[in-house]
Amino acid sequence: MFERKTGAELTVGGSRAWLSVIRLLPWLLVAPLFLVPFGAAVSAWSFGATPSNQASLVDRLLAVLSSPSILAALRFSLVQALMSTILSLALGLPGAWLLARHRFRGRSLYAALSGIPFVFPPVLFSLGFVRAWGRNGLVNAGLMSLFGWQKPPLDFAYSLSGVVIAHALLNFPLVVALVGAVWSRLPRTPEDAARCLGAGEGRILTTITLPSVLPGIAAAASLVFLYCFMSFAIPLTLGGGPNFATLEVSIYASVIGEQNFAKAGTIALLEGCCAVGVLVLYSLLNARSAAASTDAPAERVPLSALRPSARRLSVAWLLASGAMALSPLFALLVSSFTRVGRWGGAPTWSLESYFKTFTDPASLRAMVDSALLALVVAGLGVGIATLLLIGERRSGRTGIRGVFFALPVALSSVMLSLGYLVLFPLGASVGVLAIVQATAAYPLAWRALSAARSRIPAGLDEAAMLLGASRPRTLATVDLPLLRQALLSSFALCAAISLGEINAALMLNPADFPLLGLRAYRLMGSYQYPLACALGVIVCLFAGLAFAAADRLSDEAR
Amino acid sequence: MSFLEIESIQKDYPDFSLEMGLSCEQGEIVVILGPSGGGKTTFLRIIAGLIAPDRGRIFLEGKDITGLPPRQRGVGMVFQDFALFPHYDVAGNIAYGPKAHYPRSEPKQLAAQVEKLLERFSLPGFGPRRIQGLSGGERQRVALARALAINPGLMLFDEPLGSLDATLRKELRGELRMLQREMGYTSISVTHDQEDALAVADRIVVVRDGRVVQTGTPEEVYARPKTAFVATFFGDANLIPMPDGLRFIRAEQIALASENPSTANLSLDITVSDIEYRGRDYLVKGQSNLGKDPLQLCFRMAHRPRVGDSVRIAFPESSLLPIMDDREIIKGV
Repeated sequence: MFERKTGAELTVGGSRAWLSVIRLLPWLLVAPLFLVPFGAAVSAWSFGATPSNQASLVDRLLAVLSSPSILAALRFSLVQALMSTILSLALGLPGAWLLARHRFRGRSLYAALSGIPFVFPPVLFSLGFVRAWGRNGLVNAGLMSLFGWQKPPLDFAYSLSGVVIAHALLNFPLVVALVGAVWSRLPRTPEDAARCLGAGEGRILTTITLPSVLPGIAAAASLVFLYCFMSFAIPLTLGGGPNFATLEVSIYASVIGEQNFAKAGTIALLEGCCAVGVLVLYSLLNARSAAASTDAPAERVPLSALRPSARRLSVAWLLASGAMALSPLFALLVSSFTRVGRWGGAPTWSLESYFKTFTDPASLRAMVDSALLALVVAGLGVGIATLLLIGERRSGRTGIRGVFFALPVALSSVMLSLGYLVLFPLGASVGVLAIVQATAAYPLAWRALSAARSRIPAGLDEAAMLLGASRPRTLATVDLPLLRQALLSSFALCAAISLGEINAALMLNPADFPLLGLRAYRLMGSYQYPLACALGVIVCLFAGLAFAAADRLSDEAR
Repeated sequence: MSFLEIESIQKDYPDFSLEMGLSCEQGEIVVILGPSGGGKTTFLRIIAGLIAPDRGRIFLEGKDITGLPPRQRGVGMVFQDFALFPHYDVAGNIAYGPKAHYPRSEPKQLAAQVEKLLERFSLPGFGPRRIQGLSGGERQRVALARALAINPGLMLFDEPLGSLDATLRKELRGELRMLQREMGYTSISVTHDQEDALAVADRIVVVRDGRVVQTGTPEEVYARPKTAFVATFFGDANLIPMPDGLRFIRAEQIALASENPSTANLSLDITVSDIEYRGRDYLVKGQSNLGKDPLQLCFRMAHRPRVGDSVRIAFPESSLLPIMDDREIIKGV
C-alpha cells in the first residue's frame, strides 16, 4: 500500500520549476484552441441585439431556445442518438463476448474494425452506406437479381432509420472493442467460484459477469451516444431536410443557409452543454470500468470448444456483423469501378471514374492540397498531444485535466468553426481550417500516446536518471524511442482524420482550396456516385499509405 | 562522519509517515527488512533521490546530497523488476550510464568496458542480445552490470531477489556477497524476506510503519530481539508473559528434558497440540501452564510425536530474555 512507485514524484531539486512550466504550457497553448472559438461561437447568440432590447437578452435566448426548429433538432438529435446507441449495443455486445472469451481465426481483424469510426471519414461512410443499402445499392441489386423482384425491397437509406442504421454500422465495432477489452480483463476466478458453488451458466451471467461488465457497457454506450449526438456528415447526407437535422446540422444550416449567427450560437450553447455533460458521464463511467478490471486476462477458449449449434451461430454472427461493418467500404470500392448506365440502365464495370478523376485538374489539385493539409494537421495534432503528454503525470488522462483537454470531443469542429467565423467575419483561411482539424484530432492522438506511455514501465525513467541521464536525455533516449511507434501511428491517424473531414471544411469553406472530402460530398449531392466513390477510394488509399508508412518507419526503428 | 549519513529523514503522506535515519560505513552491506508497506522502498528511493524528503539531510562521503538530482548522485540502483530498457540490447543497456556521464567517450573503449563487465557477469557474447529473450537470472545480472558500469560508491537494491525462484535466490545470494567483496561498494538493500536478510547482511535494520525498530548484526537481531515484533519476524519465537514483563525464547532453545539435562534448569510438561515436520526437525506446539498461547519447540527425534502426547521439556532459565511488548501495535498493521 505504501510502496509508492509513481513517477509523479520525480520533483527533486531544480526539476520542480521546470516541470511546473511544462505542466502550465497546455493550459496556455492548448486550452485557448477550443475555449476561444467556443466562447466566440456561443457569444454569437446575442448578435443583433440593439441597445434598446438588451435587457431582454435572456428572454431572447429563451425565445430562440423554444423555437420549433431548434426543439425539433434537439429532439431528433436525442432520439436518433438513443436509437443508434441501442442498435450499436445490440450489434456489438455478442461480438464483444466472442472477442473477450474466445480465440478464432481473424480475431484481431474483427477487433480492428473498431478503427473504422476513427479513420474512415463519416461522409465517405455515408456514401458507401448509400451505395450498399440504398435504393440502387448493392444489397437491393443482389436481392432483386436473386429473387427476380422488379422493385428494390429495401428503401430506408434516406430516413431516420437510414441515419440510425448507418450510425449503428459505423459505431458497433467500437462497442465490440471497448466492451470486449473490459470483458477480457475481468478475472475468471469469480465465475469459476460461482460454478463451484452450484450456479448455472445463466445465473453466472446475470449475477457475476454482467454486473462486472456493466460499467464498461455503460461507458461504451455513452461514448457512442456522444458520437451519434454530435454526428454531422451522416445526418447531413442521409437526413436531408430540416425534419431530420441534428443540432450539429442545424448550426451549419443556420450559418450557411440563413446567415443567422444568433441562432447558430444558441444551438452551439445548447449542444455544447449536452455534449460536455455526456463526455463527463463517459469519463466517470470509464474510470469506474477501469477500476473494476484486473490486468491478468482470462484465458480464451477456441470457438471449436463451443457446442456445435453455438459454434455455428457464433461463426455466422461474426461473418454477418463483419460483413455489415465492411459493407460501406466494399460498396465504395465496387461503385468506384462502375459506370451508371444511360437512362437508368444497369451499371457496368468501368474505369471511367478514375480516368475522369486523374485527368481533372481540379481533382488533382484537391489531392495535392488535401495531402498537404493532412500533413500539417497531423504535425499540429501530434505536437499538441505530445505537449499534453510531457506535462502529465503517469497516471494518465484521468481526472479533471483529462476531461478538460478531451473537450474538443464534445465541442465539435462545426462549433469551433462557427467561433472562427465570428472571430474572422471576412472569411477564414486554410490555416484556421488546419487548426480546427488539429483541435478535433489531437484527443485521439493524445489517447493513443497516453496508452502507449502507460505501457512503459515506471522504473525506466528512474533507472536512466540514476545512471546519470538528464531529463531531456531521458526523454530522448528512453521515452521517445519507446513511443516512436505510437507517435508515428497517431501522426497517420491525424492525417487520416483530416483527409476526409468535411465538417470544418464546409463551415469555413476557405476560398480556392478544394479538398477531397468536400469534393466527394458535392459529387454525392449531384448523384455522381462513381466519381464520388473514386475520390473516396483515393482518400482511403492516402490514409492507408500514411498508416503503412508509419508502420514501416516504426519497424525500421526496431 | 560515516560514509553515508542519513539524518532522520522525514516524509509525510496523508495516510502514512516515514521517519528514519541510518549511517553506514564504506563497504558495509546493510539490509533494510520489514513487512511490505512499512516504507522501506520509499526510504531507498529517498536515498536515490527519486523522492524528495520533507525534512532531514543525506550526506554521502561528507557531501550533502539531499537536494541533488538522482543523476548527479552517482548512486547505483537495481530495481525490483530490473527496469531494463527494452529498446536497447544488452550492451546498450550496460553502456547507457557511461554514455550519459561521458557523452564523448571513445566507442571502442566503451565497447571494451562493456565486454569486460559482460565477462565478469558470465555473460560473454551477450552484448547484441535483446532483453526480451533473457531469463530472469540473466536480466538480474545485466541490471547489476548496468548499475555497476558507472562505478558507484553506493549500490541500492530494491528487493534484489524478489522476482526470482527459490533455487536462483540462493545462488544469487552468494553471488551478491562475492560481488560486493570484489568491488568493495557499499550496499543498501530492501527485502521482506528474513532468510535473505540474515544470509547477506553485515547489518540488519528492521523497519515497521516508517520507523526503525532495531539495528544490529544478523546474529544480534536474531538472538537478542528488542521487541516482540522483531522476535516473531525472525524464526519461531515464544513470547511468555511473566509477572515482571514479557520474556522471549526461541523454539530451538527448548528441548526434551531427556535430551538436554545439563544446562536446562527449568522444566515443565506440555500437551502436544500440533506438529509440523520441517525436514531437519519437528516444530511442535503444545499447551503449557505458561499462558494461553501454545509453546513452540523443536524436536530432533527419530519418530513423530503424536497430538495429545504429554512430554516433559526443559530449557535454561538464562535464555528467557526480557523483551519489549509491542504486540498490540502489530495487530494494527
